[in-house]
Amino acid sequence: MQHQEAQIQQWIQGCCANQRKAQEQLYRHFYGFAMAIAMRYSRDEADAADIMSAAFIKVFKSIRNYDSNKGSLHAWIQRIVINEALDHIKGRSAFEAFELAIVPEPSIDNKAIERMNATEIMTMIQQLPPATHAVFVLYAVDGFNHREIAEKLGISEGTSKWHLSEARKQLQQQLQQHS
Amino acid sequence: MNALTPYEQQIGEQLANHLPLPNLEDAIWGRIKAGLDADMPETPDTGGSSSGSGLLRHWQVTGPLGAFVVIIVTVFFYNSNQNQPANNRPNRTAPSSVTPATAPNQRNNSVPLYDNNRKEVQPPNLRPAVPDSSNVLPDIPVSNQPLLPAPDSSSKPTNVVPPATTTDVPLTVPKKNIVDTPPPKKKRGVPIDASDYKLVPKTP
Repeated sequence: MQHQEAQIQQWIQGCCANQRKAQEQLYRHFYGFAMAIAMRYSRDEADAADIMSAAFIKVFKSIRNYDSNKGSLHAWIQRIVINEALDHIKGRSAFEAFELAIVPEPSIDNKAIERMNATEIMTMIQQLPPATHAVFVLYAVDGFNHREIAEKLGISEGTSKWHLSEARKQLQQQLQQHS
Repeated sequence: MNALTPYEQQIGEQLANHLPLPNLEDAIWGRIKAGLDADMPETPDTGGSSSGSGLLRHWQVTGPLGAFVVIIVTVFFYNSNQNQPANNRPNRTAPSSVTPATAPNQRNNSVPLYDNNRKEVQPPNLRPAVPDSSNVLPDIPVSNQPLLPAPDSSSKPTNVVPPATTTDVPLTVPKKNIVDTPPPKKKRGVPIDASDYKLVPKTP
């Protein structure tokens, strides 16, 4: 573990010196971690590739600003990839302002989810509208609360709650069709 | 609304840990590399440390500029040294022509008596305009003194001689004369003329 940390520190120093070899090694080390984040915010693989390339260019351009005392490199790269993914989503779809009316929570069959694999779940989520898709992933997968989602997307907390409710309703409908 | 439902927890766990990743690692790296080459080209020194490559890049930028500045400064000083004697001569001779009031006096005080050989080394601009035959030393321009304006309180301040310039001229000119001409030899013995060698028969 310490050897890996030392290796990562060596790559970081090489990236600060703009060495392509160190940049490539750091990218390949974090490819799976970052690609999984990009995939769950994107509609398809090409969209994920766009997010990944733009995010890692930002990583290498701003890696001199990374401070290991403020957090791990994983968390730093995760934040950059998520922000880049949200920029992509905001670029292709507007986040309209909605206020959540009090609606009953949809009941979703847990067993139906258990029977699905990750690819089927991802395909189901990718059919959500982009804004609703982003709010659902931010909330259910990456653990952000509505206030944080509202700040990231530039929307109100009520709009964030509305998108989450919409996601739950549409997922319920798709699960009913799937079952 | 604020709590994760069990199915949402299942979805999150599936997407975070079990999502199959496309094999786009090399393709994405190619795009990243192209973007980096366009925005921040790699330095030739890839094997050195960060400070070493940064220093090399610094010298690559500032080295030719520094050499150019050194060449310009060298040429400037060379030209200024070539022009400096020509520029300084008028500045030194100008006060001498304006301040003859004290120059002859000081020269008389500092220079020993001259013989006739001294005429050959006198600077022409210091020669007296009107020679005075009554003067004991005709080669010394003492006769310049009558040409000077008499000290007058009503005279213009431009005629007032600065003390720095009055001492400048006599310190330079007579020293050259002293060096160039040997000091006069003092005649020794009794003067003898032709009559001293005349043979006269001894009278008984």
